[in-house]
Amino acid sequence: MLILPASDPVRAKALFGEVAADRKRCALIVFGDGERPREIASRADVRADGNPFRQVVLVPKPSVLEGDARYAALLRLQASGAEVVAMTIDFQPSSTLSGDDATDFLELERAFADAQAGKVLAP
Amino acid sequence: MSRRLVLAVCLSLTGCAGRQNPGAQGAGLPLQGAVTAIEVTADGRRLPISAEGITDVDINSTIGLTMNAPEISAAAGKVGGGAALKDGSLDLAAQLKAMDDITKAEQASSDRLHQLVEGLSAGRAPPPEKLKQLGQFERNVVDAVVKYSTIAGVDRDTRSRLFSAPGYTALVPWINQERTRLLALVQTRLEQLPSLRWRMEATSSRAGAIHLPNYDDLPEGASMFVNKIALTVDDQTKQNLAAAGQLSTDLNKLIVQQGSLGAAFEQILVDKARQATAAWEDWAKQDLSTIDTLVGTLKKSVAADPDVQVVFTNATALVKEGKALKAACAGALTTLQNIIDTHSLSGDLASLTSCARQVRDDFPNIRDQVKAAATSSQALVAKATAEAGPALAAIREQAAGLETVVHAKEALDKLQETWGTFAAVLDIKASVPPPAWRNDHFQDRPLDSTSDTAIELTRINPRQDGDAIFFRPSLTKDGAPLLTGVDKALRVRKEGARVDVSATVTFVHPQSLQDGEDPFRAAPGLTAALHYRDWRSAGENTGCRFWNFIDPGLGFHVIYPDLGHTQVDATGKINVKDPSVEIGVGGVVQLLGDLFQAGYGYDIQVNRAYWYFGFGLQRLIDLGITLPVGGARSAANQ
Repeated sequence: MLILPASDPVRAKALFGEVAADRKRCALIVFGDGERPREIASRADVRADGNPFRQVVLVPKPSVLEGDARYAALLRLQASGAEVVAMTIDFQPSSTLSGDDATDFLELERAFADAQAGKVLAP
Repeated sequence: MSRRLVLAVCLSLTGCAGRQNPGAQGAGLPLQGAVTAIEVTADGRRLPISAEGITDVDINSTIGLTMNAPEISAAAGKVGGGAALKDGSLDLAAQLKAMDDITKAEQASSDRLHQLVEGLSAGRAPPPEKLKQLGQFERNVVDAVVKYSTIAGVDRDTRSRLFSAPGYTALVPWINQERTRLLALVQTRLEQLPSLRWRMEATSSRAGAIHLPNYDDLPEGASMFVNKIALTVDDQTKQNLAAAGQLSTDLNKLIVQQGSLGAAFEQILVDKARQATAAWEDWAKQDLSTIDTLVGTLKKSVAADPDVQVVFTNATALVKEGKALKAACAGALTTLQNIIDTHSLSGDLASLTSCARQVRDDFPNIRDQVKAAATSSQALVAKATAEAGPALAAIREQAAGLETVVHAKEALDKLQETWGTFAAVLDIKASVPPPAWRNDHFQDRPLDSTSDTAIELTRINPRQDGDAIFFRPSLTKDGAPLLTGVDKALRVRKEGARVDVSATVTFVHPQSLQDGEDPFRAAPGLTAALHYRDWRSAGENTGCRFWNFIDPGLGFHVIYPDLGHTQVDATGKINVKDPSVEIGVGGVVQLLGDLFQAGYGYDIQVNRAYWYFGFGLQRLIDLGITLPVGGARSAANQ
């Protein structure tokens, strides 16, 4: 699991840029700082464990990604209440999770599977 | 991380390592997995039999057939016990099916992941479409679990826990546990359902229906053990020996006619080569041009009927491939003719290579196109004949041309059949004839008392090396099959050590030649050679393929040579009379069974040593090889 630094936006963007450019792995992006986001990220990481085509990124401070057009859609989803956003290997938003679904292993697996299959969230 | 480690991690995470999943075997094939077969050899070894493919079994073995009650119940639940398995909202049949769907989806997903991880470890970037397929397979697992949960009433927390460990390591044990629980429930229900019954049947390609204890009232045959190392001359071998005698006589005439054995063989080969090149030339000149003309005619009639369009498309493709082949092989034909005429390897030999390459590359296409064209042509001719109207009048006129395509298909079928015979006889590829099921002495058993049974090969008589044995299970209702399982084929073989006694045609060469004596002459004989066929390992279908193909043998021979001469001195007195019968004895080594052999021996009557090479007659006959000798077919070729 990758945890983006909260206090160094330049480094955070650089690290996240590598995630966005990775054309082999889909990603589950977990937003927030606190026990719940960490639990969600930890659960998502269980679903990514041993699968080299999945990755999990915890973004404790979403504002570090502001100012880059590539992440605008992602930040909009976060702002509208998504705790988790699944991204395809082309780094397109695939699905969002929040509430009970975000901590449900089956829903996390479903989000990963859909992102892997290339399902894209309707605009 | 090394490739092996990556794979090991991946395997363990997806839950495949060492798991036991009774439903996995033969998933998707009816009733497969319901019966487990094991070969018990005459010396007591137990060799499990794979559910798939054609399995070699020894001629003296017994095949134990164990009924797997949970699998039988599962199958019965799906096809016939639907009503019995429904109790209000509890639908066990639907649950079983949904559980199977989870298993299949999980296996497909795991397999694809392994495949991609393996490629990644080998440095191959995963293709995007394969990654997407992986996602779809993973999604199928989720959907199947959700569906089962809905049917079976699995709560959300439990459902979530199935994915609370990496990969499918939590899911797979739960599948097995849930399946066992379900099958126990199903079995209990089905035991109360007397109308469904269980049937087992077996048949032999030679002896017909086979008695299966507990499942029919066929008579139990006498047990007859085949002594694989006995020196037995059977009737077939005696007939072959007589045929070998006739063939030797014909060959000796040809040798005398041609002046030497080499010239005689050359003549045979030249005749065969001429036949082959003439056939190709005929096809290229006549059939291909007939089809070409036909394509032109069909083009005008395409609008008349959609079926004409199909034939036109197929025939056009065929002509295109045929012309490409003809162009590539035109030079090769000239070279072949040159070789045949001059009896020397001269001319444009590279053209032979390019032709062979073209044939190799194009053959699958041509075969498929000929088949497609023949099928559509036959349908069109039938239609044109049935409809008297003017629309297809042009097709009726072209019926003869369309027949050409059908002839091409027949020629291809013959070619495939010949290859099939070669592959089967030389053990390159296992094949068996289709089974003939004709037992009507069934004693179907209730599902709560299915019983194990056995095929005792020693009681199947007659039986021979190469025979096929089939068995299959069925679920029946009121005596009629409701669901018939897939046929499992066994091939009877003499595994391990055996002695083959066979007739042979030999070309005998005296150790020392006398003045003016022909070096080679044909002679019939018998060989007895010890061979060893590699046993299969447990679960495998056959032993070492290469060894069993080479099939070497070592033994002795008895032949009837003609090495004696009447010797007359200057006064006209006969000093040594040519014996009317000569017998030569000695050793022999064989390859490919008895097909190729060479030996060294001694002619007892005339006190002369000799060596020989020769061919086993039965193998020649089995392979369908004919020798055009002396302008007539020899007895061996009939």
